Amino acid sequence: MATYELKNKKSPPISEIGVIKWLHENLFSSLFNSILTLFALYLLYLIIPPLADWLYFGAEFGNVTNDQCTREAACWTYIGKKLNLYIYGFYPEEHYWRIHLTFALVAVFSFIPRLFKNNAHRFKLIAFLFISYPILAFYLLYGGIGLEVVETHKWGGLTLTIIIAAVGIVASFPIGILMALGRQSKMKVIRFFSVLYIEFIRGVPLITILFMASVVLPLFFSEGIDVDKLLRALIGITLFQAAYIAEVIRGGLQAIPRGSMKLLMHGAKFFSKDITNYSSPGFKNLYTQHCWIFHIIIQGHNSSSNHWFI
Amino acid sequence: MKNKANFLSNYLNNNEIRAFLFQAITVVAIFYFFYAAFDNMFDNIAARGISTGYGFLDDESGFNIAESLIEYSSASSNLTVFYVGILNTLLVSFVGIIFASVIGLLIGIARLSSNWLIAKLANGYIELFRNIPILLQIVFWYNILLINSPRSIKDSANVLDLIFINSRGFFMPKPIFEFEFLIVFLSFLAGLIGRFFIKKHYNKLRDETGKSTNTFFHSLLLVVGLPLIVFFLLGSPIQFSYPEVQGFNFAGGMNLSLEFIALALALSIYTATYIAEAVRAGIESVNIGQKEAAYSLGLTRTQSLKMVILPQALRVAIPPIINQYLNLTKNSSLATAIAYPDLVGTFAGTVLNQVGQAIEIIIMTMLVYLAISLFISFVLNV
Repeated sequence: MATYELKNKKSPPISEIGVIKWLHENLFSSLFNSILTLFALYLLYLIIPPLADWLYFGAEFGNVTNDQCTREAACWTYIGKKLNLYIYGFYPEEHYWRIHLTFALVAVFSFIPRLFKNNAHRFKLIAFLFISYPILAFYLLYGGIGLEVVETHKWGGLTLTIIIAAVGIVASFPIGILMALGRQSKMKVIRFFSVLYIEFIRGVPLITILFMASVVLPLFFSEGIDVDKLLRALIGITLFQAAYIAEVIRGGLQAIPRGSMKLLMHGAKFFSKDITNYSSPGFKNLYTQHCWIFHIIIQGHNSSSNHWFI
Repeated sequence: MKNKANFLSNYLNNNEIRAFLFQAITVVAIFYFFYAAFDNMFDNIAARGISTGYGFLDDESGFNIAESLIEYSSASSNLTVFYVGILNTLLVSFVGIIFASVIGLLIGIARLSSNWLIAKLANGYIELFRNIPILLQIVFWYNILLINSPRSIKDSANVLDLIFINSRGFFMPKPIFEFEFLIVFLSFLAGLIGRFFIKKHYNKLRDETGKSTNTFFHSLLLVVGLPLIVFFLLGSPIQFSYPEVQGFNFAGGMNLSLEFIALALALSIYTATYIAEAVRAGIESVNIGQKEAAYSLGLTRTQSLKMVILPQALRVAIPPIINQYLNLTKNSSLATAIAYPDLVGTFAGTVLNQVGQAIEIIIMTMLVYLAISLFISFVLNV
């Protein structure tokens, strides 16, 4: 009778496990891929070492004078010395706490509603905070009763970047929603003006809108009314962004299945929960696109700031 | 009394009447807004002593523009400045669109590569350049070029005695086409047409007999070979004007300013990231089953890509890519930051400062961009 012995367990071939398998599959799976990998490595070799040298290893970090800074390497000393300018612009140093408080309040205000379980109360509270915050923020930043006034031309740096982006995002939303609804409307005149607005704004560069806001807008007001420069830029940005937001919202609305839309239109007795449920596919789409839009607003605004207008 | 109230509320609750009322109110509000605004505007203009109308277009501009595609001097009219600006804007947008498409396509495909390193590098490229504002990138590349290029003509960086680089820009050979070159071009077109018919013929043959023929060499001969033969038969009807040092500058050749190169570079690198994402979205939108079906039918990788995947992917990818072309054209207006003489920089910048007629000038500028946008989206969406 033949007997079979259990053979010793062999470890898998070295080419099928661990690093080697990974390398083989991901970097050297074919001749072409191997060439590509080597090419990419060479490219990295060309870029990374000199860059690291310039940015870090050869760079000056300490306290150096202007003459010691060469073009051969980065000079970070300067950044450290001017850090306040980058963050606060020309805002007076003794009032920095006002900026800090303004931004800290965002955290506090967005946390407070979480303490309330009752939805109705929470909604009212959020609405209240949402309206009161801009007023409070403006009072803190600009000053007025009891606080020293800091003119807007002294605002700057990262602070101003965030302010413009935030105002642009919040203020363009209502206009954008109105325009998106207007574009979908059955009323011809409303639709016409909405389309005209959206397509016009989307067809021209932001910088011309800002020129318009900065040069032409003041002419629209009767004499004696001086519109603040920052406000002009904000109006320009908001009007510009509203057109883009309108298109995003239209995309979201159109992605809602027709059936759910009809249900919504007919069923006056729906609860808000149902509305969110039925329209959620469209709005999910909307949210993903929002991220993109925010990203554009934050990037786009810098053509308005510091440089030309403020 | 009660009847009357009912009547009124019935009236107001009628959808058509309400819609009419809404629209009437909107029209009145918009017209009133513009009436009030323009009324104020004319008062303000009169008070500030700014003249109106388009008379300023005929005035002498009085300033120089560094680069221009058409004849221009400081004695030219403001209208010429307008044309110079439009042409410069179109030039940089055109060059930017071509490079952005090429880079974007390559990066988009690299992003989907099975090679881990290539895919990660492409991803890194996209995330890096998409998240830095285009304005900063323009200024960045301009400064890089400016710092690294030699100041004086004598020290110009020399590439094979053909291209010279200094702080005034890139000087390179300029091709001068003789009249005979037209024939070369026509033979190229003839080659293309010939290729089309040969392809059609062999396709028909394949459909009838089931025998397929590789037409690669036929095409190569027609599209590349034919023009080359004609080119040499005619005795190379193309000449180059080489840049040479003459006095304090280069004479001859073609000059691309650093501003132009920096702007084109930044615009293409930035826009390429969005095009790459559009390309990737297009390819990923094709159901994997389509690819598997193509393979199981016996199509090769190239065939399945060409005949199954790309036609479906392009349908998804092209509209967002067109959108990016429009964005690139609009972003080229940021040229003002590095003083490239585009439409905004020259016309809405210098001319506006000199003349002060903001409304006319800005409206003209906006209309140009609007026309370009509408034109691109109209032509490419057909």
